[in-house]
Amino acid sequence: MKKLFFTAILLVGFSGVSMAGNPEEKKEVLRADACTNWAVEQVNADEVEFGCYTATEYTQAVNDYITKCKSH
Amino acid sequence: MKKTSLLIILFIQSISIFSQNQTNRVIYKVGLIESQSQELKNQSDERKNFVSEVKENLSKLECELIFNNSCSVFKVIEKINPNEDSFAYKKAKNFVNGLYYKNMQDSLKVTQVELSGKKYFVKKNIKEYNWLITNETKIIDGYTCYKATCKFEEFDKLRSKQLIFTPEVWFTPSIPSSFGPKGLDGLPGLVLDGRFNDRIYFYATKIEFNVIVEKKSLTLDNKIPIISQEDYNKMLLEINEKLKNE
Repeated sequence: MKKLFFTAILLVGFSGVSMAGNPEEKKEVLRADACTNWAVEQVNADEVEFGCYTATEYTQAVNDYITKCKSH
Repeated sequence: MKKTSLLIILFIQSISIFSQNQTNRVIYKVGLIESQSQELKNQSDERKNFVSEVKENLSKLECELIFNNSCSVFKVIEKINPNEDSFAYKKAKNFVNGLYYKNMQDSLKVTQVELSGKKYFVKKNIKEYNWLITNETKIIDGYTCYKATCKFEEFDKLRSKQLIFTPEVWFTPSIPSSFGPKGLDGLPGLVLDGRFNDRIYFYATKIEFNVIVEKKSLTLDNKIPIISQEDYNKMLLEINEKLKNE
């Protein structure tokens, strides 16, 4: 009986830890994706206003916008 | 007799202007062909303000091309600017994209870039553009200029697509120097007006001959490593991956 009780407590504890970890992780991934998506949107909009970027300029611009997004 | 003497004097003068290893300077401004797209109207006020700020900064930018018989350097003229740290100013400056150096004697063409706070020279093909010279002419600052166009293709790994550009320049054989703004060069005359993409263009506003510049203006900093375009693109993509996963 005692063994069963401790196993139940361990299981609840473990699932609690994993539940607490998951949303944080998801939030991080979402934030990174959101910055990348935003950066790509901005660069695409830039191209309409300022003309097409070369491959180098495009990657550079995306990187600049991601850095800007993450610094906020 | 008088006419012949005058022509001889003019000929000797033009030879002496361009054959001596004198240093010359051209000032270029940056122009923008306004987009006809209605896309900006649907964007946020923040985006609209940012675009107009970039445009304002672009219109204030001045670049210089310093050149002699064999070398040229093209870069933005650094001025004291209260908006120096603003993202819009940096964005505008990025359209010029660093420093361009060409040395005909060493068959070397590079652009200077900065990556994670470190400077590099990225090597370019000395004959980067395969120009098609047309008969179309226009006068710029008193010089007869000819139009030249070309097709420039490259594969963009990040977007997984083939990019096609049609650079267009106006060059003058009256100044027989094979240089131009933003690496738009390789023609039998100086480029006084040129664009790489279909919006941003560089146009000469001042041409000065026999100027005095610092000795190091036309020399490469040998502390900065020279890397290939492929290596640079690889480094940029690595940074992109790192930023995404941070």
